[in-house]
Amino acid sequence: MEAPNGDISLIQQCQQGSTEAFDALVLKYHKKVFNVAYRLLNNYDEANDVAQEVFVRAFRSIKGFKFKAQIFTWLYRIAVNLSKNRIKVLARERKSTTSLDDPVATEDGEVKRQVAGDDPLPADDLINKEKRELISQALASLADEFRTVVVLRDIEGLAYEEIAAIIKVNIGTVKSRLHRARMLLKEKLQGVYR
Amino acid sequence: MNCLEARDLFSRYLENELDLKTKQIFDAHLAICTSCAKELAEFKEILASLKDTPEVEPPPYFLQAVHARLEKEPAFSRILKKLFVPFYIKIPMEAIAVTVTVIIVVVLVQKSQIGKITPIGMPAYTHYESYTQRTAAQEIRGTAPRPESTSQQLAFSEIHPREMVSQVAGADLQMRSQQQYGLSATESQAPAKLYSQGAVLAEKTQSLDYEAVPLKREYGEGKKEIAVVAALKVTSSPSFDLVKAKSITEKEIILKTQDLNQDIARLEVLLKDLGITYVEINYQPVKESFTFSILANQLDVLLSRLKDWQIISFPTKDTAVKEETALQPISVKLTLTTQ
Repeated sequence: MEAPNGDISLIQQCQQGSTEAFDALVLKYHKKVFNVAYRLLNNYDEANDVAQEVFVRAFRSIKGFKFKAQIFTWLYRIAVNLSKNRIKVLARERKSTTSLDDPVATEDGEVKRQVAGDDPLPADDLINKEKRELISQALASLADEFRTVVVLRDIEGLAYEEIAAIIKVNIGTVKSRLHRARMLLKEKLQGVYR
Repeated sequence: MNCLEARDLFSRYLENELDLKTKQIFDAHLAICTSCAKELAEFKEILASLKDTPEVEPPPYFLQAVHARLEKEPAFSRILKKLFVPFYIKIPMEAIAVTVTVIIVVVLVQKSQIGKITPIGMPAYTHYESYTQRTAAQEIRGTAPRPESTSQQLAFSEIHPREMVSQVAGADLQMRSQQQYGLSATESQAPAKLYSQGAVLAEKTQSLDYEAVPLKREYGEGKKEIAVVAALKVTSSPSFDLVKAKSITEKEIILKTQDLNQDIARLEVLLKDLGITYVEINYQPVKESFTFSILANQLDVLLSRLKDWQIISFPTKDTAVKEETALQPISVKLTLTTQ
């Protein structure tokens, strides 16, 4: 993540009640926050709810922000916690035994919502898309704490220190959990992947 | 190095965290073990796919949606405003000690069907007089100053708590019981029990002393400051004795609601019925809660209504009320979560 200096001034203005500063903060981080929620929840609408709620919570408690962590660590932490809570609620509502029982959001459903990137060759595109869907499903079937580290590290590309700060465990735990998570993913994708 | 050991090192290997020696051993193993080599290749491919996961665009007008959420008042402050206009009253202890008598009704007893709810004969409402001291009155914020008037008789039901305070502030106040409470009707003049934080007024025949029990709360971020005042006094007859409740136990009830707005509305009605003595809002990022006092024997009513409405409640303590404490005020903390 980029240098936090610009953020410090923005946050201070937020704390003093500047709506413009808050808006700037939302615009700066909402895509990332949304994507974390999306990858954790595997559902576009749920992710939208959670992401909005993250900023509502942030707005309400910004005055208590002590600058000990970076703002995005703090935002991500809220996002991770709210996503986790939401997953539990959804699971209870469905009275299911797995944590994400809904039909997994597929890329077809999301394609109009995604950023159009450079288009690779159609054949590659199909294969990649299929692979990504399989991975999404495998990811969705992981336990929360495993899914979280994979999302934060392998999808979002955060540093170990940042992840450790977000989920509040030490770095060693992040690394070992991450490795286990990756191995679990691999097992689930064994044979299906190729 | 065996295969198990090698596979355990995949992550560290790919992130270049192996020391040179270990790396050499690892490479050597992979050179001869096609199985591990294949596993590593698949492992790498998964990581590469994850890394390539496209970023999804959030819906447009995200910021506006956040603002829309922020503009909705937190549910509890709505209740607060309806049930209890927050007013902040400070009565300096010295002023009371020095002179006299006042006070203010910690009123928040709503003009509602209190009598219908409390099963035991709660006597008719109060009949007392009180007057204030000037400086105390000046401390009262947020109320319009009232001209001094004498012996105004005010029907309790007509008084909004806030007005009541201002009336008390400026004037002699006499209140009388109201039939409409449906309270135990035999003695409309019977002294009533006034419940305020920690205090119970019981009837006594001799005259009284008063005890000032000012309760001031300071709140930190995210909490609302509520008026708290309770002091009491008495002048002429009937006279009251201030008896401090021995203990106020706090019950925490966690309400899980699926439909926040609807359940809030129901709670409002119920709490009005039960007669809230004070309300405290405690806003925490995760859950909202508020605390109020009710009579111990009203707790069952509260809980059974909540169950009827299928708002699940999880009292954390045993809710059985002993007879001797039935009239004691207890503090109930309702924590509302939407999960």
